[in-house]
Amino acid sequence: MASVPEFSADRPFSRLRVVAPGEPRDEDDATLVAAVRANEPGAAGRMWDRYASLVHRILRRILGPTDVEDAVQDAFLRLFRDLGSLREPSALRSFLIGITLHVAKSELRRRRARRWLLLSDDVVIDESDAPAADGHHEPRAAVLRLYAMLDRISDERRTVFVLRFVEGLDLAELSAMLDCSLATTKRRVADAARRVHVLAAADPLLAPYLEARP
Amino acid sequence: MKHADGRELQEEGVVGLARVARLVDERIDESRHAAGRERLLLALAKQRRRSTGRTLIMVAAAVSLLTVITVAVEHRPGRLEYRVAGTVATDGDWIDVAPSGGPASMRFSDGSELDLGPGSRGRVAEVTGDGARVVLGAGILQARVVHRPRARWAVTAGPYTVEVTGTAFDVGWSAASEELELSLHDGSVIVRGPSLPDGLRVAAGQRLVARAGTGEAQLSLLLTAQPSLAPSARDAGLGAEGPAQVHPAMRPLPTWSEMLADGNFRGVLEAAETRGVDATLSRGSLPDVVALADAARYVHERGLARRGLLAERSRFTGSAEAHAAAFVLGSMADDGGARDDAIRWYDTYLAESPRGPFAAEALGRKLVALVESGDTAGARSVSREYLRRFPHGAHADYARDHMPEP
Repeated sequence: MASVPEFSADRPFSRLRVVAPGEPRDEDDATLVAAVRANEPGAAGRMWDRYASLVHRILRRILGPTDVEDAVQDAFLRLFRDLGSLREPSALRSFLIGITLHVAKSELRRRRARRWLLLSDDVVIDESDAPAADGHHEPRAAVLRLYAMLDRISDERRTVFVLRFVEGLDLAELSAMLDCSLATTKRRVADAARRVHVLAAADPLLAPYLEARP
Repeated sequence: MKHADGRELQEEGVVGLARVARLVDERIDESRHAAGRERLLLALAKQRRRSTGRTLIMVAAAVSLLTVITVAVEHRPGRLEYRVAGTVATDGDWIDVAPSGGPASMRFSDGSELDLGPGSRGRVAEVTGDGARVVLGAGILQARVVHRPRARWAVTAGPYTVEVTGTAFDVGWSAASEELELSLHDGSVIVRGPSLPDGLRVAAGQRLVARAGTGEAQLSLLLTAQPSLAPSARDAGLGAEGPAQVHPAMRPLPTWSEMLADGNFRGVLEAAETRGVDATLSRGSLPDVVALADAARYVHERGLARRGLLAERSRFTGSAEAHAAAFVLGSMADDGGARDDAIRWYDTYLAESPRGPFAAEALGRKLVALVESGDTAGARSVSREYLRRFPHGAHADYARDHMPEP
């Protein structure tokens, strides 16, 4: 094979356009769903490129500072398996979030069972590392403590806390995700907040954050 | 505190606690993103292969055109041998893979494997001791070519030829749209064809889309970007004339976008202060302004975030980032209780990007803002529009709740 020149400003390919990673294609969710259903080349990869970060973020926020790669894969495999049941392709994002929440709950159940069988906790915290909640230190201990605390509440409360207060979903979005009425969603939010507040208030490491304001 | 049971106080309190959860690094780094992509595609391919096996058992007797073949094709001394396995039909040299099944696998005696995807068509046009030439008539081909000192492989798709020495890549060819899509996972290849007569080297972590009809070729970076090309890609967003070759040694410092991706929000702000915030906002590149605005948002410096977002809109009018900035400005106004501003920004976003990625959210949030501001007539109108456009969207139930009584 003949030698080929590398990219050079002196010799640009006149019709070649270099685009930044992640630059969105002119393809909405409905088009992407249709492409995946039709097994178009590259469509599955584009689905990953578009939504892997979202799935990863939700799982990390619900499950905590732990490896979530298997769970991300699980969510995507379920997505591809169930995509045929998606009636409204433009609702892909909500559909995928719903699947992700299901995967997160399964993972929480699995971890709980494992902890019970092994009679040990995943998280060990050295309180001497705990910094003040002054925003000037990396409050790693607080993160670990928070997720250890979340392990003590129900999966439902944990999910509601994360989606509402960490992810910032409004009540309407949250009620769609939880598949319940707005009034029920409000009650569940209040219930989760109350439970989290009570536990955090009793924890000297977390209590200062209850007073913190953005 | 509005409720005797302290509900609002508790909700406000846990908002502070939620900031702790946000310290969990939720971003997926580039190498893990790419590895996850590979893993998913491999798993999907395996699933299809298993599905093919099951399908084959059920339909083999009825579908006479499809044949499961496992044949040794080449036995000439000094040449590679290969076998084809899968649910395929043959038409002369051509191999047609059943559209509903899994891929057909071509396994060569040097260990190289080329899989023709479901519904794809291809043929082995030439086999030598150093490699082979495979023609992709339509569909997708996944290749894992074993690197050997003298390996010479080529995949031809329409007017394009992908020359290979040792690599892993996916190539798709649509005869109808005359479009080639190539994703490089490992090694490098050279692509020749319309507008690329001298060949274009595509390296690991890059994707090429080339259209024979127009001669266009678009090279983008997958998420495991080649260091030498990353700056060029960034420059492209600044309206650079063309891509420039940049040696890896010339970029010892992370970019602001990379710092942002690493969660180093303070680092971005400090870098901006060193350079000058005003100078950045008035003369900085689009990626830097976006990174600065996002970093400011993440550390709750709302004023600076707003200035950055406004700079995106005024300086890079028409860009996807400028459009998205309108939605983000709306969300920020919403969070700050400025509902009128929020609605105005949501309207701006919806006017500029009626089918954009945040269209459903923008319309839904506008609806919530209208309801909360007591604009019943406006809320009903938007509810109607929302249900028409996004009948299964996240705000659909909320919209139904605010439709006029029948």
